[in-house]
Amino acid sequence: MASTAPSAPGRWSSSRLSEGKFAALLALPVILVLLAIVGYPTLYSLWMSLQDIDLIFGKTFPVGLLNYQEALANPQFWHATFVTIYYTALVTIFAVAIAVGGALLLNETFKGRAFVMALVILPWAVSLYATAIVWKYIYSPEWGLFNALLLRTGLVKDPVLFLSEKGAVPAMAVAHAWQIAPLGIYFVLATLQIIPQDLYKAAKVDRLGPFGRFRHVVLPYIKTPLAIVTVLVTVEAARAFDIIFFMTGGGPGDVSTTLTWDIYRRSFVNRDLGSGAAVGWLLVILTFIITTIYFILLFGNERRRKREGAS
Amino acid sequence: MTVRRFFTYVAAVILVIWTLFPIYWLLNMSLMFKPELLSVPTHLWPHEPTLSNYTRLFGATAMGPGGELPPIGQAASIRRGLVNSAIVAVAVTALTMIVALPVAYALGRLQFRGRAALLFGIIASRSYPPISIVVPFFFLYSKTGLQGTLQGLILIYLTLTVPMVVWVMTSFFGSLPRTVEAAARVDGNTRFQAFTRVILPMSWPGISVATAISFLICWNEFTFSQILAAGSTAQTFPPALSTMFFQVSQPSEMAAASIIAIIPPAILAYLFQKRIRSVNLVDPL
Amino acid sequence: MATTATLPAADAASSAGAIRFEHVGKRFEQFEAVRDLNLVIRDSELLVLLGPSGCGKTTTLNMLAGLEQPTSGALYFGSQAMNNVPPEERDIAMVFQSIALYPHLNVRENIGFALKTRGRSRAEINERINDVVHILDIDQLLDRRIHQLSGGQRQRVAIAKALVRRPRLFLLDEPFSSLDAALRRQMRSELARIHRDVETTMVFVTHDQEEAMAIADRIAVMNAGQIEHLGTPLEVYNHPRNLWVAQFIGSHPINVIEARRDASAATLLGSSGWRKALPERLPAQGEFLVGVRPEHVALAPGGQGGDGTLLAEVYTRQILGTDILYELKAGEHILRAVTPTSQVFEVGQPVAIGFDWGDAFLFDKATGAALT
Repeated sequence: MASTAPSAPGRWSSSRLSEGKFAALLALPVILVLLAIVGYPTLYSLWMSLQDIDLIFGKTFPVGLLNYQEALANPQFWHATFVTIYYTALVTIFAVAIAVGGALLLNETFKGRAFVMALVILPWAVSLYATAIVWKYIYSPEWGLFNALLLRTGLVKDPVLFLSEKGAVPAMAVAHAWQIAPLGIYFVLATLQIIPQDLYKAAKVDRLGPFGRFRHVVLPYIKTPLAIVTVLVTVEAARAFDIIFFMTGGGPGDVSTTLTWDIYRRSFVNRDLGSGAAVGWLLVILTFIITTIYFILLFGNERRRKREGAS
Repeated sequence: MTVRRFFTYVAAVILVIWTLFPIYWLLNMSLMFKPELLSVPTHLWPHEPTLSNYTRLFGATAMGPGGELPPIGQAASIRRGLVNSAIVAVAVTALTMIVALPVAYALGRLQFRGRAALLFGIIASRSYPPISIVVPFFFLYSKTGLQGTLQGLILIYLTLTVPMVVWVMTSFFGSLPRTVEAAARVDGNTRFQAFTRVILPMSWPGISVATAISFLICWNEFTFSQILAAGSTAQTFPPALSTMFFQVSQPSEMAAASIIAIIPPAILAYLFQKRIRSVNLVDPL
Repeated sequence: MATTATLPAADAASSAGAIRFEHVGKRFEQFEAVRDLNLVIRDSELLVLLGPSGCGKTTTLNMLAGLEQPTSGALYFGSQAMNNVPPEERDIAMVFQSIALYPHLNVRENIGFALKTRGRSRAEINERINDVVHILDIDQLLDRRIHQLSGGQRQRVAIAKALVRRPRLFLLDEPFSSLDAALRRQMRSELARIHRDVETTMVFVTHDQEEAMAIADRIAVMNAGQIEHLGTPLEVYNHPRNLWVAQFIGSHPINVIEARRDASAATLLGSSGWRKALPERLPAQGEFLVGVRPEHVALAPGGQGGDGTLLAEVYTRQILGTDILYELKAGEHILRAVTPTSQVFEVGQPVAIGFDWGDAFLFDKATGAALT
């Protein structure tokens, strides 16, 4: 009997915990860590945004909502907001287009597919700052690849300035899309691969052409994943900082000054941390809204799948 | 059918070129001496390839076309940056696993009240703009002396890695067969032992990806290190690179340094690409 | 599998006393999975919980395992109340539908896992493993990984993993449902033999009535969270307690015939004009239902039927190998009959349908309860 005795001494008593209590116990460390390293600084920055902060003497003076009023009355802030939206929209369009195209391609069977599949993830592993350096060099008028090709083929006589007033934001968006699209390719591809082969056959029997097949077979499956990728890319683009730091420094002038760069300039160039915290908060609110959409999509997706799985 | 096949191959070639050409150009630049790089138009491949840009990063001298080239001025900080990056990445990854695996397990496999709220918290932390969170950290660190320390960097890096690893592992744990815990419990394990003795050993494929991703996040992080540690002894590789980038024009050397920054992540991505595909990074639920 | 090795009986002290469900209920938020369950599982019997999906059979099994707690009532192992005893403290072993073997362990490690968890010595573990692998004929597989095994081999390993524990109670949750038909039959007879040898109480969940009939000492037929009928396979087959059980048990769907008694005869199938003498001793009064299994329907070539037969026409014919299944059309009514292959009718051929009241079940029209 001793050998099969229930609850040998020393065994952790959690065996009688309910599932909910056990889950709470497991979740505790991460909740504490998140509260300490995300929650506390967030609240702290809320407090900072209500202060005028003198970094040299380490003194703070409460100023109420002055930092927010100043930012919202400042055309530079609205310009930065506009640039952020413009940049985000471009990155999203480019990245989603690459993701869908790449995924549709990799869903075909062809020789070397495994090789291409392994290769396309590479940009994702390249950091955003290194991406910025790489593309800055690609665009460079002195030693850039694009100008080397354009000059060699005689299409232009003088080097083209890609990071110009008009070109800077789209040029950065292309670089960012290059870096972030692979994740989208993998995700959309994973979805494509769960589409039953029989559905394609049925579509053929029903005499649907390639576009009909895309519209009636592929699209219904990838609609939700596509929305999820879109929102994810949107968040990533809205919070991009490294790429601006290395490629344009917010310029020329302030044509590529996004909210992230505005926060950086206020906080660490002008050393006005209160003002930086205030705009920082406004950016958090912006990403929070996008995140909420993201969450609703994901959670809805999970529940739908569970429902379908259950039936 | 052959037309379709033809276009498939054309598209595949375009995709490969699109993926590789930026890296190729960086490599091309890093293998040239400066005079060749500055020729107009720039050569599409190095006519006199050299590794001197790499060796000079680490303090060696090299013979160039115009005589002896000295080591680059930032060699010391580059080397220290690499060491710091490695230390921070390993420490952060270890801490992240301890904190994140239990909660990911709970989120992936248990039903409990507050699960949705917790998931939202994780996703919100994951989309927090780094530039927004670094402002309060900057002020807090300048008051507590964590500015320019490895400990300070390790702490703030957790804000990036913990949500990401929870995210990835929630997905992985959720994908394990449903009866695993039941089997483990019937075999005589408590809830906690079912997690440590059965689920964790089974999850090695997922944990290895999460580890790689956590390492990658730390290795690739720029903003926090630039603002909280640039110029200090704790600065990691990226701010050391940014100093080099903005100080003097030395594109070939810079390209070589960037290649070095890319190599470890590229190796990890290659090793883990199959698993990255099976672990869903975008939608873990 | 001709081995005659037998397992030692379960650890003596752990096999005492029956298992009792007393007014057990299990509710999941809105859904009542099990309702007022009263059941005694006898020592060393093989009890099958049989029913369609969602009938509460797996929930019942999970309560036995401790994976779910009853929300009302009490569960006893012998004299011990088990409601809140977690699975790891119950002396049970379980085989799962999804064959929950650990992919990161090899066959030997899987089989020995539970013993190791319980801190048995290495020598004892090895000895016990050697005993069970011999019985299940998987000696050669010990060093394989799980993904290198076929479906049948996996199921054997899963059973070995449960057997090696020598538990007080064996739980099997549709263990053979992922196997193909031939393998399923083979595993059934192996399980029956193992049960005979080890004499441990086993509870086996399945939705397959044929499987249940084949292996059970007793069957508990479940529906909508309740036991409809508890009895030996023959009792359940020959004396179903109600219409639902009669319809659920049997390889071919039973014929349900509306009937009305007047004096010593019954009118069957309303408008069809089928009248058949009904013995006085049978309890049916007024309107009632008659259940006749297709295998008890007698067919004769048209015109040769005796008194109380119904003339019909062969509508479809399925040749099943050992016998033939007919669908017969009489007016707007369809009846089914199964005959030996020696008795062949062609589609469209007129036939006379008959049956013996002794083979028929009578049910109350309103409640479906068997009339006795």
